[in-house]
Amino acid sequence: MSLSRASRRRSNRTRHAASVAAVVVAGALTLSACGGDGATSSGTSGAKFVTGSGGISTVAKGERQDAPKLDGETLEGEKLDIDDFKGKVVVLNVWGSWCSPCRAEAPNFAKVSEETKDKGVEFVGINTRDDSKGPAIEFEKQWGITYPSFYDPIGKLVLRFPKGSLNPQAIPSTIVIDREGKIAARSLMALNEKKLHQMIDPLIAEK
Amino acid sequence: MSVLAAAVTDPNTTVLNGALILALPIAVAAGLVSFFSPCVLPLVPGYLSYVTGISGTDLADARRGRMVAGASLFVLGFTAVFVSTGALFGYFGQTLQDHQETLTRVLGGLMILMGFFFMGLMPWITQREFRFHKRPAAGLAGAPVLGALFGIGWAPCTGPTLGSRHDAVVHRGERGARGRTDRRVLPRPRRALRARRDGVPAGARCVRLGQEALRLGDAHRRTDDDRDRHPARHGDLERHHSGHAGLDGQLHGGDLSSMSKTETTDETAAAAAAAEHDEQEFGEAGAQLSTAPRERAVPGSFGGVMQPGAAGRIAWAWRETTGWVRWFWRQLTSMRVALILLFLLSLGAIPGSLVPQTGVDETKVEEFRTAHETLAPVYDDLGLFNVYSSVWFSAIYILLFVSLIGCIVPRTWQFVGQLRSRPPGAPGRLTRLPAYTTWRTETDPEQVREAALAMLGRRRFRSHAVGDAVAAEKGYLREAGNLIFHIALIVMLVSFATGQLFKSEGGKLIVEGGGFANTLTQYDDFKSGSLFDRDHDLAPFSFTLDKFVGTYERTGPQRGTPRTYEAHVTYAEGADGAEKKTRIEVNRPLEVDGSKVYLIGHGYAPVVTVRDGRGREVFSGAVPLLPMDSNVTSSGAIKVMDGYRDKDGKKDQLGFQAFFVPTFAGAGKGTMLSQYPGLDFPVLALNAFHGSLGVDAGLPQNVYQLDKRKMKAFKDAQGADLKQRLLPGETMKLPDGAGSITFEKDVKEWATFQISQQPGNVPALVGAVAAIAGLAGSLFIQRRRVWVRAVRGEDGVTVVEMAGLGRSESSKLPEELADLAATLNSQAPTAPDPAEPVEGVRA
Repeated sequence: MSLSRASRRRSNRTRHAASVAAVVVAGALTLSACGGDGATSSGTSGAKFVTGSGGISTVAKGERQDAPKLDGETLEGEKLDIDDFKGKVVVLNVWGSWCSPCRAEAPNFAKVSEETKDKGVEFVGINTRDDSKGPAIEFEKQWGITYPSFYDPIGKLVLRFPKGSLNPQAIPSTIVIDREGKIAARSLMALNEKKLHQMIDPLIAEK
Repeated sequence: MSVLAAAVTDPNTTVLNGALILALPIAVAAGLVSFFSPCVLPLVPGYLSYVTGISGTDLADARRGRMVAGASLFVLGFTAVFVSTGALFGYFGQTLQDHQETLTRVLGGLMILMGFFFMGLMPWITQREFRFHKRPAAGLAGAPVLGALFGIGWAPCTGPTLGSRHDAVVHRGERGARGRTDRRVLPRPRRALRARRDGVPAGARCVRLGQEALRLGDAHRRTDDDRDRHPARHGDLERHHSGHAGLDGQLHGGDLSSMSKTETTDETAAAAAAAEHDEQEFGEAGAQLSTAPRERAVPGSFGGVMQPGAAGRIAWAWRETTGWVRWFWRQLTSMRVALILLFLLSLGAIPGSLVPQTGVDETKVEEFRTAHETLAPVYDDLGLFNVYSSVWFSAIYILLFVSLIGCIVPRTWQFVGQLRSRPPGAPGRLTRLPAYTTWRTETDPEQVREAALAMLGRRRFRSHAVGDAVAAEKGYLREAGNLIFHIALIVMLVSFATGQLFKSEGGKLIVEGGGFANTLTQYDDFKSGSLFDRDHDLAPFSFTLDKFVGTYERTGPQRGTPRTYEAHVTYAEGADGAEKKTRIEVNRPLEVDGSKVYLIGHGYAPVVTVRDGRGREVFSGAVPLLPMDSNVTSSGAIKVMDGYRDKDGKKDQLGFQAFFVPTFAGAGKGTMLSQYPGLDFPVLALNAFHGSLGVDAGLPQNVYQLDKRKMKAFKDAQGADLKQRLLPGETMKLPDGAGSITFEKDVKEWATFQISQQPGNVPALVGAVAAIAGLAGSLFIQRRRVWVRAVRGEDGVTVVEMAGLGRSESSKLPEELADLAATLNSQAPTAPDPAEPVEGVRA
């Protein structure tokens, strides 16, 4: 009896060690969980959009994901399909007339879209969260936007971006699609002319 | 008359708001109903006979006077408790409500703690006894004390009426059951008055309860005459009484003391010592009845004797260190430390709910910082703005986990070992065991043992023959239940934790006709756990709000209380899935692909049209306004950012402050507050401004507020700020042909939704169910051993001895043994020997 008891005690000790390790892992897990407040949170109630983590994300050629099929009606009521722009660089801008940062970047977009028109770049807006088209059309007039915009009030077009792709996550978001129809770059904040060029120019250069 | 009518329609309301004279009899009636509720009735006989200090046997010839006196004193006891809590709640009602959330959390923590404490009282954990050793002497003096205890103990089942009473007392500050936002603090004298008034019906109720107690007491006495005919039931009841007398009859310590102790009055004498004694005496037979660890080493003696020389010193230091480590580990994994840690955890949650938390509301934290300049840095150092992720809170949390797991793992292995080994053989003298019986039979010992083995096997005992006896054990589920409970607890905690890590939660306001697609661009606000992946984890779906239906109580004191809140939605799974229609109600969320969409709130969005100086329409649409009170008095802003030209054709921006009431009190009533949440008499009040809205700077702005820093108010003819109340269809003209704004004959409703995704709910639920099942198993199943010894006596007749031993003292064991004995006896009948008594279960 004493012999078996002794052996049991020894094996107990190794099990103890194992359990300690398990505990540390579980503990670490729960620690960060309990600190659920360490979670990322953004956007204040009433601001009507979520601030993105910022910065421009790019994907190297060859690792890019296909852009989703985006087609629908524009603010002006015309049909639009970005498949028609195959072979061109497409700049997608998610915006809303109510959104201050969108208003701040709008003149830059108007300008850069004119500058790059001849280099095979098409700008397409995705207007979202404007309950009616009126203010959005006024916005375009106000800032001299000449390129078309999808009217997507509830964000169903944005939903088409596949999981894990560089998808729009804030208003404004800007996404650049390369000549092969693949997502190449994304920005989750308002852009100035320089940054916009930074995003587009390398893709124009790609052949 | 109307008062009476109200009483008939809603007794609760009458008790709360009606005339006091009417409230009293209704409270009495409600008391009667509560008294016969399943919660209370079973307790009555036990209390009654204890109160009167008469055991069941002599209850039959007890004097009625003594019983009445006892019952009255008992009633007085719990009346004191109820009246005082009633008065207390009445007085502190408002205060309590203001701190409702905090209190809920603190009490929740305490509740968990109590739960653990209760478990801690289970013999298999602490091996300690927490019985009240001094109890009030049975009889009249003890009656009021017992009444008070009854009152306190009865709190969880205060019954529908008293519950709602106290609830209402807490809510009284609001006059009727309105929303929580409408708080009016009563002046102090009225509060006091209210407190007194609350005390009175509580008293009336107690009187009723008492009367019932008296009546039942009488009935009890009468039914006692039947007792003699049902001795078995009598015995049951007797034990029941003593159980109540000890207040925690179920919670006897881990003693293996004999059954007879239950009946003796001197039972409190050193049960622990008895347990120790018994354990030694039963030796192997009593060993391993549980997996609870036993204390062995004590600090200070680990090193032992130090041998001379460096080697000896090192060896000693090693022994000392490992000894301390082992000791520390044992302490940490003890239930006591786990309880302390749990208590600390609930203590830590107190600042977490009192001090504003950065994770919850950053703006509040900032407000706090500016308000308390000296205190804020101290709080910062202590991590009080971020309690749940602070070092000290995490330390407690981790230690608790280590403690729990460190407790479970070794015990699980031990239990597995016990399952694999066989029940120990019979002790030498079975007579010493708590339950014992013997008889003589002419059947062969071998046959008796075989029969016993078969019988015990049929009863699902684990049994085997050892020498001249059969050893059997049953009730392993108790231990299993205990372990399952602990493991389930950890599963629950871990799944809550993972849920927190991977969860996401966001809000969205949708006006009728509008919609939402589950992408980050569509949220109004969004919060996620630290491991949530923004690129992967949102389930793709969308829905549109077709219609919102809200109806409200029209009349009575509940006027304005919501009756229905329904959001009729059309939803689609995936980016372009088929559209389906459904209805979301307050506690019935829409579930799509692991996400839940809850209906949270609602409000109104008046439709307005703004025209500029040239008469051109520059804005037309529904403007959602945020509610400010339970009658949906709402406010917000209308911003015309683009397209507006003033009368000279110059670009400008317009801003309106909007104030909306769905039901207007009427002009000249002196209030712009809504009278009713439904759309009975909608009125929109507007102020108009022009200038820069401040939206072009690129900084995010609250869409419901007007930033007037660069705006100028339009003036009316008298030079005052232009403002006007509009009925649907009316137009407010801006001065000097600056344009107009029209309140169209259309008010849309909006609803707010919370879209949340929290993995780990299923395991948490499974964990919770398993925890309850485990707890039930460990509470209601008894681990016990039974031995059957059959030896041939000197006269050639077989002597059968049966004995039982339980982990804890229970009346069930001797009953079960008697049953087993009867079964075995039918197969090995008692040998005729009229000279001495041959059969009997000692109990």
